[in-house]
Amino acid sequence: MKISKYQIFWMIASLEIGMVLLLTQSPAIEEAKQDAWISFVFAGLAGIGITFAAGKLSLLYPNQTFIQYSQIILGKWLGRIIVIPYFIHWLSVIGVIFRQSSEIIQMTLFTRTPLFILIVLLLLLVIYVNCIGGIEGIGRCSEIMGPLIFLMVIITLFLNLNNIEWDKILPVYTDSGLKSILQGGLTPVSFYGESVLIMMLLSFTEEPKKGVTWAVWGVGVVAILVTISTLEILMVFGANLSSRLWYPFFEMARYISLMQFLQNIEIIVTVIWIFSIFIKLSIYLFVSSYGIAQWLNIKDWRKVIWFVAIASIVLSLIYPNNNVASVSYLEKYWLPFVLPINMIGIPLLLWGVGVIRKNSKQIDE
Amino acid sequence: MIKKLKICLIILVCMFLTTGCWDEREINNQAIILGWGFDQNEDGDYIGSAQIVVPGEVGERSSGQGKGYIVETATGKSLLDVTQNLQRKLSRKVFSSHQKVIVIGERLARNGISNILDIYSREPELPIRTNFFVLKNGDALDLLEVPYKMEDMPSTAAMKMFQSTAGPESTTFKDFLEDASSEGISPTLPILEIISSKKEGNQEKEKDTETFRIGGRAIFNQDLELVGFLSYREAVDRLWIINKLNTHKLTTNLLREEGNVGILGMNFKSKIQPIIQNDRVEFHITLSGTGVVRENNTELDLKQPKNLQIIERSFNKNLQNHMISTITKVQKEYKTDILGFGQSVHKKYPRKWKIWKKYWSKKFSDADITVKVDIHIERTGVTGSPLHLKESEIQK
Repeated sequence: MKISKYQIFWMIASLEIGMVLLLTQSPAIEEAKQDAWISFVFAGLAGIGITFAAGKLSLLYPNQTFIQYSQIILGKWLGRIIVIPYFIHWLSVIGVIFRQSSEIIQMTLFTRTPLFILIVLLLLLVIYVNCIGGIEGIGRCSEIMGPLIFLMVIITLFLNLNNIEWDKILPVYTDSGLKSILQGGLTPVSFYGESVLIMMLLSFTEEPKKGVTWAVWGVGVVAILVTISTLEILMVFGANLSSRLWYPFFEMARYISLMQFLQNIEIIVTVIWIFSIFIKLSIYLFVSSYGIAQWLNIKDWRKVIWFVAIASIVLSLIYPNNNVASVSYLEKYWLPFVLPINMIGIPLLLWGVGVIRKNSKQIDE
Repeated sequence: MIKKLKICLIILVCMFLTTGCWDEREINNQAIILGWGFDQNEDGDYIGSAQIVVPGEVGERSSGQGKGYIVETATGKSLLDVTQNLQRKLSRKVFSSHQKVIVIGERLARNGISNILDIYSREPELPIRTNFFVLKNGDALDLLEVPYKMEDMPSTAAMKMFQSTAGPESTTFKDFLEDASSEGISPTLPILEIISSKKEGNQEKEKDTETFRIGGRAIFNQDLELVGFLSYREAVDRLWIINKLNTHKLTTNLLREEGNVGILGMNFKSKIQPIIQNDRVEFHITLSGTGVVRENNTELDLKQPKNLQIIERSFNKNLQNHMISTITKVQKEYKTDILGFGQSVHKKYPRKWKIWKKYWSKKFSDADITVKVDIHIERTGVTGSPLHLKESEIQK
């Protein structure tokens, strides 16, 4: 199973953009008001930093996945223990993404279809691409779907240009201050940071070094697009309104009305948005199945898919309502644990230890 | 062979599964609502009136039969309750995705409309591009029952009227929510008025001769209670100040000479400059626009540049006076900042604003205002002086 550097770019870009556009803008605007776009600039830089660190770490052992080289760097047992937070992170987030995306599909497209059916349909699709195509299949899907997702975002931004009132982002800075701006960047960073997945993916690339560059580009391009769309949301709805809308980007798609005849195109936007969710879920499913297989020394990783699939159905349905799945999960687990530990702490720790070990090895020789 | 049988079986099973959509909605079973009207009765309950399409009748009005729509009403504690009670009267399921117009009766507007707004932003099926109107002097139900002749659905008429008179294509609901949720500007809604179509001011009110028209603007305070109205002309002034006026036909009398001149105004711009001195705020408002002369009921020969200057001066002076009276009315009578002056302070003096925003309405009504209007005439049509005048009558 090999993927090209462009596939890495499209995988990272399309797995990030869907949820970032949907879920990070409202909390960021709530915190930083009309300066939220500055938060997104900072968040984008931090996201690129995280991706870069994770990439550098993986380049120490370019032919091994994170599960394997953590054991080399920290020793067999410590290396095995340190990946456990990632399994919790991956499995739980699969459940949450299933839940949230199906809620949104249910809300916008199929109001009377039970949530369970939507989750299972999406799940079957994701299992299918994993079983048949593996990471190669996912890579090719992202190469096709990624450009479509980007096109959808750009078209939505373009068609709303006539609704812009640029002075809605004034006054800059004085209302919020540095603290609020940085605080507003926290949620976006924690979504950009999902690019640490390349620690698992890089060993499949043909040219790992270029793979890192393209992954960083992936995060960068997404960060630019999302920053622009945040600016536009602020200029269309104003800071007060958009902080209270749950899905301001989606609302902006609903707001499109061009010359009276092009209206109600939010359905198309939703459908293309599902592409991004599909890729994100596929990658998470692949990474967690493959990772668990390597962790437990199971030869055929495809068998693990079924375990992960069933776990994710359960994990997606345990939440009593959508608010718990999106808001509480984000505030109680994702921001305080996943962001500092899984995205920043452990990769940096491993990188540091790995570099020292490699150097000392070279000195020994 | 067995493999083929298996494939056949799978296909057969799939056929049973794909018989139709789970969420199918037959159009025959939908009561498509195009417009809602809301009123409040003495007990505080809401009365909702819905204008519902009658599918078979649409487009066949030339035959003289039916109206293409029916109006049904229901009461309830909340709008959801109203919808539920309305459903009890309807054989088809209420379908609101196409609603374009919501009319609010004056009494409800005066009692405050904060309780009827949430449903429109929460329900994903309801379009955010909804237009809200306030019906001056009446109940919303009256308006929905007016048989408007030009459109199949009176509701669409209200929307189209608004779009063709108010300038930019705007959605009153989004703007309203935006203004209501921010500090430094108070929300407004456009007004509809029921009038007699035969003759304006006709005392005999017969149902057949009724129609409606776009009025000015209804002013709401921060608690979303109606506090007053702007006339149509004053509402145009407001649009100009908040930079949303597209094109508008303006007519003015000359200052010294006889007669009046009409122009088609375009490119309206406004600039609000707040200046704070000694804890007092002063607003310098600069308004500009260009115009094309469309009517010249004077003896002026418009080939002469100096005559154009006379017209420009008259426009500037008269528009300025009207603008000042409009702003003063808003300041002194309603004490509600619907002109976004607070926002301009917020943008220019963000630190001062943090202290001032709590008692902004007082500061606003005490503020000094200077207005400067600058209309530039670009073209004069295809004649210089009016063609019917004799040579001797033309003022060169």
